[in-house]
Amino acid sequence: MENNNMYLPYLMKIDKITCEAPSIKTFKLKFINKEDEESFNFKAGQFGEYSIFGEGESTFCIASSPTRKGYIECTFREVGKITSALANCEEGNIIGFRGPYGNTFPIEQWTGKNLIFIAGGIALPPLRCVIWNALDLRDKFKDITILYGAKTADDLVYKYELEDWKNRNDVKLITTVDPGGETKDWTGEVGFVPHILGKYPPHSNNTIAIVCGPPIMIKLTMPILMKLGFTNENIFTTLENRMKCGIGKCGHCMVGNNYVCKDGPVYRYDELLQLPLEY
Amino acid sequence: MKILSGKIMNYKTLKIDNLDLFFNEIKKSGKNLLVPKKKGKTTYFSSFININDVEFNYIQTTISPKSALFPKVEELISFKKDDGTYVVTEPSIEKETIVFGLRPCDAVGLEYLSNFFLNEKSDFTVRLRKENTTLITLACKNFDENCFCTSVGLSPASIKGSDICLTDIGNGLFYAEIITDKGEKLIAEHSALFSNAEKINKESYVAQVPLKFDSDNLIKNIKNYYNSEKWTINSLPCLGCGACAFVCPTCTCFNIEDEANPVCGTRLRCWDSCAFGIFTLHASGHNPRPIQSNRWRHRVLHKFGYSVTNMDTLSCVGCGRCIRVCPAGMNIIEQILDLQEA
Amino acid sequence: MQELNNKIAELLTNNLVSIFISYKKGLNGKIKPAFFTKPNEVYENYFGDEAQQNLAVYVHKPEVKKYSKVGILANIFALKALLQLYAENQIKDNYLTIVTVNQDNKVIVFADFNEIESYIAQHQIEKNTNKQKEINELLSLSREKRWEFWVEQLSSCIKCYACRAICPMCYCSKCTVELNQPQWISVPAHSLGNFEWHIMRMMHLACRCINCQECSRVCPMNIPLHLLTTKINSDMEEEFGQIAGMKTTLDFALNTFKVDDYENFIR
Repeated sequence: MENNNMYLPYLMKIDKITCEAPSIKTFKLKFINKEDEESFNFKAGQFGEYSIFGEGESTFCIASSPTRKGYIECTFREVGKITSALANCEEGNIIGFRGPYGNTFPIEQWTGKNLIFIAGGIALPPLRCVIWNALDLRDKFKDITILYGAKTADDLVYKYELEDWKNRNDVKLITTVDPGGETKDWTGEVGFVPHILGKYPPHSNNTIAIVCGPPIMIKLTMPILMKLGFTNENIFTTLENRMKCGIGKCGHCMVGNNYVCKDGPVYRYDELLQLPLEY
Repeated sequence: MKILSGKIMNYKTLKIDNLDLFFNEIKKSGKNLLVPKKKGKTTYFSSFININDVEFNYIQTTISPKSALFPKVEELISFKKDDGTYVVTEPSIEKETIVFGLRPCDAVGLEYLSNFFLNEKSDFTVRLRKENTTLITLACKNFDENCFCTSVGLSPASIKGSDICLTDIGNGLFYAEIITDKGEKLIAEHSALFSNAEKINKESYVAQVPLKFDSDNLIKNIKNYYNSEKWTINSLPCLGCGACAFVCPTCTCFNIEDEANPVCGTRLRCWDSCAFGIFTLHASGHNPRPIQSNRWRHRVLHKFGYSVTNMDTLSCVGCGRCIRVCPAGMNIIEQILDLQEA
Repeated sequence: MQELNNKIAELLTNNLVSIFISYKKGLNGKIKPAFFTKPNEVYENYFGDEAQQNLAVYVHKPEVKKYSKVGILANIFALKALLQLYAENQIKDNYLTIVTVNQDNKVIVFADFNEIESYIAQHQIEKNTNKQKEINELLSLSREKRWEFWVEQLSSCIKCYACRAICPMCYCSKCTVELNQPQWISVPAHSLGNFEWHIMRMMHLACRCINCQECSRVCPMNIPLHLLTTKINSDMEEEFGQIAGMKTTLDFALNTFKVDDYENFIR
């Protein structure tokens, strides 16, 4: 039995702030306490509770790869009380962090397979963790494809990394924006993610699809993957529900008998289909 | 601490007239003694001051004794600004607490509640409170139309979860079953008030609560009920307040809120309810359970389905509080019977 | 009762309403709201002294709003609430069919809200003398004693929001207590948070509360919440001559400014 207070956060210093897109920021966080840094371990897909003391806690995934030690990164959109308070922070400020929580993507089981990442909007951060994890262990996987779309060119996050991925010859990157969201110098695709997926159909043979995006994108993407021959067992996604505790107690994230914070947030598509539609 | 569930360590009797002495001795020893008190139509647990304001005439208290383990508001951490960083401190957990007068169903409810909080990632404050709390249960002599402990496998005589169970056996005597080491220890501290006794059959001294529904059948079929049309029509009266959850001994959901001034503050845990619309509302505006019938279904299925899968037990103890307190007459028994009828 | 049941069945049969909100007896004997959608369900209908809940609260429940035409059995408090809601532009025309039973057990179906206005004017229910007594008792206490009274009462609040849920006048889709930018009301149910909540709610009900006292009836902690609204209502009547639930049109004492308004609150 663990004897510590689960709600005691690590103290983290904001090492770097990157403005990704309108009202979306990335924080690079470093542990204040060296021992915390050394004992801290996480895996791709996990999340944490980030807090501003006096305002409260907010839930986001860890967007950096577990292969990069010494720091974690998180990307968030300014939508509520706590994310607004976070957005007002400056480099050097101290915030709280609890985690890592939740299950993980079974990356070890994907050795020797092709990976296709399909993400929409602010849903790239949870996949970015897996993407970098795979790229840092590039030899273990075959083809890696990333299909990423956002409403407008301005809304794409990690623009500097998209550039990096585009220039690598061991990654195939397809970016797209919703019709009307393109700028004059836009060189990517124009169209919704599911349509672009249909335009560049990936091989389903020996391929794992990792899909994350708004519910409507998921709903329209799944039939296309099925048509391409993907099976439910080869599709993974990660859920986001309202959470408070992150450790399976507060009840907010419950979907049927599942606590998304502890039984998820990563679900294989066949597991997801077993859950009631309450996510 | 070892808990011999279902095994009784010792039997005693206590003169009802000696309760006053017993309570005052506990109070003098510096422990916090929670007893039932009455305020208008409401019965609730509050610290013992005087025997005259202890309420004995109740079927079931309006408010459950769960706050002894899981208070309506509690501190998780406190923090203080210190030269650009923060000093974070943990709360210290209070003195020993004795709860007197909870019902046998409540003791089971609190056992569920603490098992839930202590399993896997063990909850710090609930664990400390659980270790520091002794439960003196009062077996039921009466019941009302909202009691259904027997339908969920319990009885007014059950000792599960109690440390000491008292039964009024007439002639001004309580029959005491001492169930745990904690109970034994408390009796030992007040041994002059208790006399040795033989085991008796309690059946004739406790209420005979009629069976309202078949819970085996319910558990067996619960998966088929998710898509029932009855949730919608049956939940029309439900107004989405949190009364049912807040009076329930097994409802564990909570919210975490910070309160602070520019120098220092606390992170507080407070009761929350799955009946509230904002309970599941995403920041984006999307709500996974957008209408009241979804929320009512979640509550009922959690009690009789989800906790069976997750904890191997029902999380309803049949205390009937949610039925008595509902502003709109929602009745979980009616809902279950209606589901089973189909 | 038979006349009422016939009326409800008739409304449903002729598709004049698609759902009728009334009362029935629950399994435990408690009278609870009933939602009849078919004439053959109406036999369960109950109307009598035990039918306490103010059914006007259901008019703004989203699930009820889905029905195109709603019938409702309204006691005098529900009538006042409905009239107040109408005056606040919360009821669409031709959406509600409002039925009541008068003191001679006659069933009345109101043609419009003007009829309700005159019905209410003719059927002034006796002032709850007990309520006035309670308020006078409180007022006779010193300021400190009154403070003690409310500290004791409101500290026990568990913030289940049953008072808000049952209240026909609490129809905001997003309540002040749910707004957190800024955080107007402290969420936890500690004394301060409870004071903030109940004082805010009282202010929002000033001259809108129709005195049905449902908040006090449903409070699990038995807090006499109606005393707050009753007092503020009598102040509003004294200062502005307004009483909620009496008229089809309102000039909202707390929302309007008039040049001849007293300014005796500035001292």
